[in-house]
Amino acid sequence: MIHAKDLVKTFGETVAVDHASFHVSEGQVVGFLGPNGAGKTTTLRILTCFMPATKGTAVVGGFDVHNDPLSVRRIIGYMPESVPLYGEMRVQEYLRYRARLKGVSDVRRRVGEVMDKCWLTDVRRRLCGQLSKGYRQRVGLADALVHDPKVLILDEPTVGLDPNQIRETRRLIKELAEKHTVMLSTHILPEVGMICDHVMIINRGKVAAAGTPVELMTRYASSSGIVLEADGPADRIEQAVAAIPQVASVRRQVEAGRNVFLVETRGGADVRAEISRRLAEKGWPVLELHRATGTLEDVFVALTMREG
Amino acid sequence: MRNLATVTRREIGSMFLSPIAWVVMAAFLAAFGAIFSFFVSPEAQAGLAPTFFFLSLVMSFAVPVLTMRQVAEERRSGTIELLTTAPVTDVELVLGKFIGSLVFFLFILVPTAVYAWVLFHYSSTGPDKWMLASGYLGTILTAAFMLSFGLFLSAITREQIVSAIVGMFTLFLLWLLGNFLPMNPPASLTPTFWSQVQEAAWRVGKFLAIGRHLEPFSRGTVDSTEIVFFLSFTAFFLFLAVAAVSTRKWR
Repeated sequence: MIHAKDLVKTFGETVAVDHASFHVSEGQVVGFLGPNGAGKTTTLRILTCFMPATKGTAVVGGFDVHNDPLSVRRIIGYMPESVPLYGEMRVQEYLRYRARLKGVSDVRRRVGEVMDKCWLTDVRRRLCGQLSKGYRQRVGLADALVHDPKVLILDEPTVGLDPNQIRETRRLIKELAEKHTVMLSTHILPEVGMICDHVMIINRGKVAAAGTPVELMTRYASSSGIVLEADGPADRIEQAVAAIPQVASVRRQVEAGRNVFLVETRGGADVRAEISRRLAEKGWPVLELHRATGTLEDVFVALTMREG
Repeated sequence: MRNLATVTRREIGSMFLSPIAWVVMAAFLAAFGAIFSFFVSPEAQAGLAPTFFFLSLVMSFAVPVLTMRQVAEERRSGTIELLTTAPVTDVELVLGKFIGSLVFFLFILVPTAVYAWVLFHYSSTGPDKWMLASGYLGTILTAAFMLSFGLFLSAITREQIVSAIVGMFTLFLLWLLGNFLPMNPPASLTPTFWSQVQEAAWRVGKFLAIGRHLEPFSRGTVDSTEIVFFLSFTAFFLFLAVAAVSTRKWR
């Protein structure tokens, strides 16, 4: 649905997007991650035809953003980061205006539908300028949805919302994901795991990694760690494990009288069998033994801190 | 076309919802009334010619205030991002905004019909209705020119105030030019380089002086040259405004 190839965007000397190439298939929900200033918003703005790329091409739904921006805009629903609205217009009036602008055929019915979907019906006569952040966000989402676009591009849709609103918004996005291709930027990591089936991490304008959350975690969170909990004398357990040749270090974690160890191995060697055997020889029962799987946060930190 | 209508409608709506537009309207009508009552007298010919002339001065201050928000405010508040990512062309956008402001200006002009009524009702001879009509035509053409100029200024600035002040200053200068420029080019018996420069400057000034182009209309002369002058300048500034809106995206 979205193909970007070698996108470059410079602002004077500053390189905001640096040869970013990526691909989003139809029906995917892609989480676009990156630290502040990584180029997330700029990339989204190129895709929505708000600004042209300095170099490179992007094709959305088969239309080139540079050569056929009007066709691209027709199939895209975009919610900018700051959710700008006309303060002097009422919610319903504003959404009807936007629907007409986007060529919706049955404006009244369609606006009624999206207001229902985004829980806006109660505030439809309120002035946009007097809405709280949460409601503004919903109006922005309703606006993005109103022409039933194939592609939804949401720039930080849950920022500034309270926990309840965040949950509602996430549920709504999940629901939308059934019929639309969604690309959303965020820097709230757990959110990605909750709503997105694909993740793209961007750092310093470059796509640092892309794939499903599980793929990324196995590929990048190269924590070769093993978590061990055993019953027995802590010091001697530690010595016994450290004696295994592949083990690089053993850290003891004091956890309410339990013997929990974090075992780091060289080259990610799997020494679980060895640990289990050696402890069994000594008669210390193993209570828990598993690989420490990295979280998305580990991946994020690993990829974005590397050069920092 | 449908987009154009939508943008125009929204622009008219925003004008009517803005307190600034109403203040401009009040000031404009007050000025119109004051000028009218100053020039109307039993001896004078019944008509609005001097009123229209001084009205163009009032307009050079009122119009930039009317247009200052048009694009600058969208840019400041970020709503420009919504407009330029919606399936609307920059031409539709600029043209819609222009037509919207022109409609609002026509709306401001409607109450001045009272003065025309006064002339018809109280003057023994009555005003020449075609002269009145051509006066209105000239005023509307002048307004179109000024509105397009103001829109262009609004499109190149982020600060409304800057756009308003530059607009007022420029239009006021053009108005002054129309009044203080000598009727004939500076004469010299022996043409020197300097005198030729002076003459060229005079010609440019004469061409740009709005008052000179407006004046025939208030006399009742509808000259196609003058219509072309106003319309081509309007088109020129609208073109520049479209260019300003689209190139701003490149930054």
